[in-house]
Amino acid sequence: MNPDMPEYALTGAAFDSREMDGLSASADGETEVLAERPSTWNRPPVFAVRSAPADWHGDVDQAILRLLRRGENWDSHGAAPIDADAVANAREIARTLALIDGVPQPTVGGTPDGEVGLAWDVGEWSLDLTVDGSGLLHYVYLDEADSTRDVERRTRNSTEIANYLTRLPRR
Amino acid sequence: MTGDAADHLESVSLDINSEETILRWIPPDGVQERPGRGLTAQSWKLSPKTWLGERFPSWSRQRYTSPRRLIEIQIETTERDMIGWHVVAAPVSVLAGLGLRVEADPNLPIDPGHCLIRPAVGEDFEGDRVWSKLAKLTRVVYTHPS
Repeated sequence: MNPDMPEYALTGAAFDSREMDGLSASADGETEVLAERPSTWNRPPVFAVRSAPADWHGDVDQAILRLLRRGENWDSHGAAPIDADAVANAREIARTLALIDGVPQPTVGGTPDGEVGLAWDVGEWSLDLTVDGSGLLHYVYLDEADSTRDVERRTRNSTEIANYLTRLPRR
Repeated sequence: MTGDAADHLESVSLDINSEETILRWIPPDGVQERPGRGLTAQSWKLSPKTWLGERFPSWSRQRYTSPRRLIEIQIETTERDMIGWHVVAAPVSVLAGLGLRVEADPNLPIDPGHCLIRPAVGEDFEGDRVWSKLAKLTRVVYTHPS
């Protein structure tokens, strides 16, 4: 086995390809393999898709929904109300990520500009993702061991996010 | 400026020592547990409000405004109860390494420690990654009780 590639137990799963760009069904229809190759990595990633969302999905989905209760200036620093379209898009992204084996639970938050944020920090690395009303994903990835791998990018491809969230070690 | 405010200003040093600590209030769910670091701010809670045209985020110098006082200021000015709100702290010494600097901006007499985070060079921050880096270096120092 290539030591640079994650070791996954591929799970049987029915997957709605509308929910994730860049995934294609395998011939037997039971596993999904990412075909797209993000420019930030040297090899095409392979994801194992779960038959049901990870246990954390329900709590995260509710936390995203609760952001809709926030009115103007909810942070007392002048924040904008959270955009309903951003909430819808973030829920979809969260569900997509929850269906990929190995993606840890994010922290949910609103941004001052009314977007939805999902954050991961596992010690060795962290990833802060914001989702806006158009579905644009803006992420910052920080690598504690090697800052030359730090990345800040905008994308509409959620597989690019999943790639960061599944390929690296965590405590 | 009133006479009282002028007196206050005379007692506020506009020179910020690298050993100082700066503070910012954070909503109850605006924090993030990080392995090995504890409870910190979420990065988005530190960035400027671009939709309002804000360029430099507001903080307060602990030397002049305590964490509890920072929350009390919010209670007085917004009439919110601020229950469960947090105050996070960041050492001024770490900001230079992130390409940032702190500029005193006293708001007298309410918040004599009010200050702004600005880029060390120029007027524009280089993307949002700086807020992710800064968030990791913050720590929650006060949570307003019920």
